[in-house]
Amino acid sequence: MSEELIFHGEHLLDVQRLKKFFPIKKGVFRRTVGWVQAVDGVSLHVDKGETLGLVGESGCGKSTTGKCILRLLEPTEGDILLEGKNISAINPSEMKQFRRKVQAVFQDPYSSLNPRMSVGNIVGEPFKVHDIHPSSDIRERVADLFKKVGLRPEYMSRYPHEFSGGQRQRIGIARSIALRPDLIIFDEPVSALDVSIQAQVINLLDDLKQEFKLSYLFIAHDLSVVEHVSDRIAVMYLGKIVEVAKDTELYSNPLHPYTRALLSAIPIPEPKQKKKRIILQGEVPSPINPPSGCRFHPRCSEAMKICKHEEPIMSAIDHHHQVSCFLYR
Amino acid sequence: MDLGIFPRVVGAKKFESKKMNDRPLLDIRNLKTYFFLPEGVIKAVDNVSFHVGNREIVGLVGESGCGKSVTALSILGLIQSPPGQIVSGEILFQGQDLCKMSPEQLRKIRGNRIAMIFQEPMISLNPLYSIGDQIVEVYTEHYGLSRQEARKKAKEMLEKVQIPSPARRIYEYPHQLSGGMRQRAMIAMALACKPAMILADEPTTALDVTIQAQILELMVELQKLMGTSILLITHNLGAVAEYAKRVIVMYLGRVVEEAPVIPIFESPLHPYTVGLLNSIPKLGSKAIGGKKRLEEIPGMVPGLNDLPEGCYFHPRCSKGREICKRKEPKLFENQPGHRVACWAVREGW
Ligand SMILES: Nc1ncnc2c1ncn2[C@@H]1O[C@H](COP(=O)(O)OP(=O)(O)OP(=O)(O)O)[C@@H](O)[C@H]1O
Ligand SMILES: Nc1ncnc2c1ncn2[C@@H]1O[C@H](COP(=O)(O)OP(=O)(O)OP(=O)(O)O)[C@@H](O)[C@H]1O
Ligand SMILES: [Mg+2]
Ligand SMILES: [Mg+2]
Repeated sequence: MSEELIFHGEHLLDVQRLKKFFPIKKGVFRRTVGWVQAVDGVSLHVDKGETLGLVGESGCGKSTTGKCILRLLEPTEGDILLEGKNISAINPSEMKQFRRKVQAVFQDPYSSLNPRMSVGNIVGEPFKVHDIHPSSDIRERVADLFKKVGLRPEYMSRYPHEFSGGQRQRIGIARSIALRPDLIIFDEPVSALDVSIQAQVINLLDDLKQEFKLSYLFIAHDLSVVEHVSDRIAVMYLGKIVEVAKDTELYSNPLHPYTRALLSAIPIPEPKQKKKRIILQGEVPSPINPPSGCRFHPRCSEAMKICKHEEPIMSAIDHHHQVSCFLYR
Repeated sequence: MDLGIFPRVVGAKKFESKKMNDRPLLDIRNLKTYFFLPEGVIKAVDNVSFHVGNREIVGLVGESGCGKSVTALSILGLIQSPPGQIVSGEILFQGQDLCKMSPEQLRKIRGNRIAMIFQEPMISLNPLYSIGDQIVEVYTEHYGLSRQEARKKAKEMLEKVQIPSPARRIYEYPHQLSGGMRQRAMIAMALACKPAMILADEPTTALDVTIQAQILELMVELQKLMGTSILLITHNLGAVAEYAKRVIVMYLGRVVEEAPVIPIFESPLHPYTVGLLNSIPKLGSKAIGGKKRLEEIPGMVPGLNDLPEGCYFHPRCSKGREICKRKEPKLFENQPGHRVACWAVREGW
């Protein structure tokens, strides 16, 4: 962990009891017949200079959480604070500030880059949108950004389709750091890349974080990647965070039965090491009618009577480790 | 995983006599599968040779576009033609060359002796029929069972792949099942005909890790029970380390290394294999040794229409020398069972 982590009394990003429900509409009158409880009371924070990893299986609400923070989706409930300021109550000019400070990089580098714009214009676009005239010429700044992410500046006039997946991801990253943001939200930034290219992009993210003192919220389903890049990790299951811990602590001392199963399910590239595997029964239930009590109880081998009826709350095991499970009341 | 709950073990088939065991079940020799496109010839599989023994699980790994799926489709005779064509080579399956068979013969082999499990089950499941009917059809077609008997068998099979409430699921259509459940249904269908060999092409890539673990364990359990061989195609090196006995590494249409699983992971020889293994973050390594920078393979995979001369890996290789740029290294046996195509290893520099 870096020195910048000294706590200043407030977090860089603070998400409090975030909820996002999507209506399910049916019939000619598009009546709402139910709700997808995609995110149901998520609280998390990211400190300055820190990378918080957010993991969980498909559909657990990771992207929805990210989109609510970015204000691409309107939260149903809850507060999002940036440097202590509640962003649900800010005026348009403050909103513009927010958009400058918080950037995003998404999984599919292709669909997130405008195919009709040259990549140089794509990377330089934030300057125009925010009406910022850097001391030097925009072109020069963009060329600098290209070099920073390991792209040749000569490529500036080319179009996205002329680049490989890894290069397109670099273009997206270059654009995201253009305005020197405080926080970047990555949603599966390397999942679409080949393994040998994945390593290049992960190392690049590490370097940029050091150089520009960035903070990251890193969303991914691959726990090995998340463990590598994160300082702390939050594990999500069916709309809720079930455990948060320091990177190495989560691996060496997982507490929540779901975290344990998740860790044990990951095959390790070491053939002599045979893992003891916890095979979870059944599948992830639907967020439309999530189970009562603890949402994990139907698949939990350690479920007790209380788990079915009462919802566990997050409790701190120590300073670096919180878990939401009745086993640790 | 407990399979003991099922009253009767279907399968456990003795399909090979002792004598035949010396011969590999599948033996691919110098296979070339090319695609003839207006902009040029794509050598998707270029002189590939390897074998899969009886009851063996062999992992086939390599990055996107290196020819893994085209290899599998070539075995099944499913290469789209035109533009694709098996240009030369032999695919010996139980001693017979699949390349010389008629489409009709191949179709029989596909349904019967070789089954395929794809990444996207919707390709092999017919959306218009209930999953039960599709498995029933395997039994009526291949074993000539009556519909009633076949239905009973189909239900047993769904139980075997641990689809909950199979009596009800048997009437459901593929779109009504979750991804994991569809994958199970496909495995049930693949196993119903008791194949000698399963080609599993990224069988779990689209699934969540906990479901992935369920499906892989299930496949291996059933493989042991039924004595099937598996060619496990995946880019998940963890899954290969765990389940495969032998591993084949491909790069741009060629086999660059082949060895039993332990030497591949513990003493890989080809610089590409070494780079591949070092570039993946390993879960838990941070807790032991602190955070280390990942190793990168520099550059990127060239396009198949833009291949370098000599060794295809040389532009990204730190050990490359003059000869690598000019001459393709052939696979040679460095140690018993460990083959590698690299000048540096061969010449010992
Ligand atoms: N616009 C929407 N309308 C209705 N439901 C939605 C919408 N967006 C997401 N959902 C649902 O919300 C839940 C959470 O989705 P989300 O995309 O956040 O999951 P995720 O954790 O990012 O999954 P993945 O790993 O597959 O990307 C899912 O059940 C999803 O189907
Ligand atoms: N029908 C086709 N027409 C033209 N080219 C094809 C066709 N099918 C495959 N190819 C090409 O053959 C090469 C090998 O493709 P293949 O699908 O075997 O890769 P793969 O190793 O399975 O990759 P992945 O890991 O992405 O599945 C690729 O360059 C691909 O573009
Ligand atoms: Mg997502
Ligand atoms: Mg493939």
